[in-house]
Amino acid sequence: MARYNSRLITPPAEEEEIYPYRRVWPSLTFEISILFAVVLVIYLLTRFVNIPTQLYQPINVVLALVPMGLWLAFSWWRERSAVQPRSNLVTLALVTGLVAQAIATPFIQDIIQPERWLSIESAINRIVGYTFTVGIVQAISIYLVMRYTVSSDQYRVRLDGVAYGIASAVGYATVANLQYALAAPVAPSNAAMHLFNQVAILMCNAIIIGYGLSEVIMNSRPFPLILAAAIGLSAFVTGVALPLIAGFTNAGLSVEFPISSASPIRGFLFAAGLLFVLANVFSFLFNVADRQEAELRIEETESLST
Amino acid sequence: MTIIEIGRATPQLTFRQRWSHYLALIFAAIGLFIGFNLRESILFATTQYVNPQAGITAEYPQNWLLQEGSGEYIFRVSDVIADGFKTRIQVAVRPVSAETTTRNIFDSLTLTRAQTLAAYNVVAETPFVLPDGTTTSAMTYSYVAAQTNPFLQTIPIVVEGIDVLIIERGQAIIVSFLSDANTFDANFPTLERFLRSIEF
Repeated sequence: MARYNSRLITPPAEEEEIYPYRRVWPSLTFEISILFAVVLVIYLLTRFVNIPTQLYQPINVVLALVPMGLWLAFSWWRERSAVQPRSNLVTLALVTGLVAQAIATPFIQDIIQPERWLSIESAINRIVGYTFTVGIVQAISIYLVMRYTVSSDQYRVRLDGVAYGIASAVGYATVANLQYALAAPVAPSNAAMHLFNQVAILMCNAIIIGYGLSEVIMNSRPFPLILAAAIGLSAFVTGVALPLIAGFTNAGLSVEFPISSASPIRGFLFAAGLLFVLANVFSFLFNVADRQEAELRIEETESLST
Repeated sequence: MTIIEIGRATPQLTFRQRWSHYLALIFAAIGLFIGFNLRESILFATTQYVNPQAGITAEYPQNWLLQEGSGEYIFRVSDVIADGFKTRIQVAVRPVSAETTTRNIFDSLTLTRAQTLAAYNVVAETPFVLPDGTTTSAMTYSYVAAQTNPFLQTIPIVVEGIDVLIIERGQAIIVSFLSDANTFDANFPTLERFLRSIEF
């Protein structure tokens, strides 16, 4: 009986290139999708099930911890199985949470007090006001913690900026959401949407600042204003999102009954849409930056070889 | 003993990288400055009130609700977005004779209020220095205000008030400032700004 050596008839198997880092966008997609689903389920459930008022606060506290739980499961835990894991993620989340609790939130609530002077202003004034107060404070808090908790050599690829930024945003959002949950017993359906909106806005901030910070660290000759522009854009997104979410939540959009009727689902959908659009735009920008860098390397190699 | 710490060398930042960080911080500082400037301009924005009949001109905080024409007062403005009790400034005018003293006016106010306000209590009658340096009299008092809407299910609020009495041209101008007792001190600068602007 003839015997064939399998090595001679099967083509050599191509070795698949192993990506050594955890992929950031799938983790973020999982986290946000599950959070979105949880909020929707609570919204639908509360239409049929009557939750006792005394359970509002415990439920809201649990809901406030859900984003952190999802991040630990889909980002931090999966980081452990990566070939080259990112370090300091939990430290970053904790430090941002502490900064939010000790500096940023008291500064916004006790010193700036935006609800005291912005709540009845025109739409333009509210956007500008929130941009230059709440937006700037949130953006600069996230930026400073990322800058001084993670050293430059821990950024190996551009998406590290997003990974670290999201850790920071989750820490900030957890503190802000716990404060909201403990402040007053709000119906869980409304609270869940408020918590999601908060997470979505901070995730947007994190992606933008992550892009700016990566661009400065990975590129030895960055455009000097790129980081300032990233902080400005991040603040502007917060400034636009806060009044628009409130507007969508409270505005009466019906032509037949154009009176104000609170419906948090509209604000919630707007926040989700904002995060979806912004994440896709920045994913494209990250790809472009990576491709440009790769082309530049090829050109440099070719010029060296000739 | 000398401790030699051996660690990984941190990569040096280039000139542009360093300035990117500096510019980010400068931008944030400028942004916050703009934010505070906007805050002050909105918080301290005023609207002019002119009443030629009573001969009163004043500037009250913008977005406060103006009410006028009642027999009890010439006009009153209230902060409609305040939580709980709506902080209020009220201006009333009463004719006075040569024999009328400040005590007579305050006693008259006390007698009227004691019949209508719950737990009305005069705290003190003290001299009060107006922004132009003139010394006049003021009476501080407190009472308990219940919410008019029983469905709101809130506990009553302790209100602190001050009447600043200005006697001029044969009439007594009573500027009353009322605020939630918890926020009275924080809101008091609003009265000071109002007194700075009032002319009669």
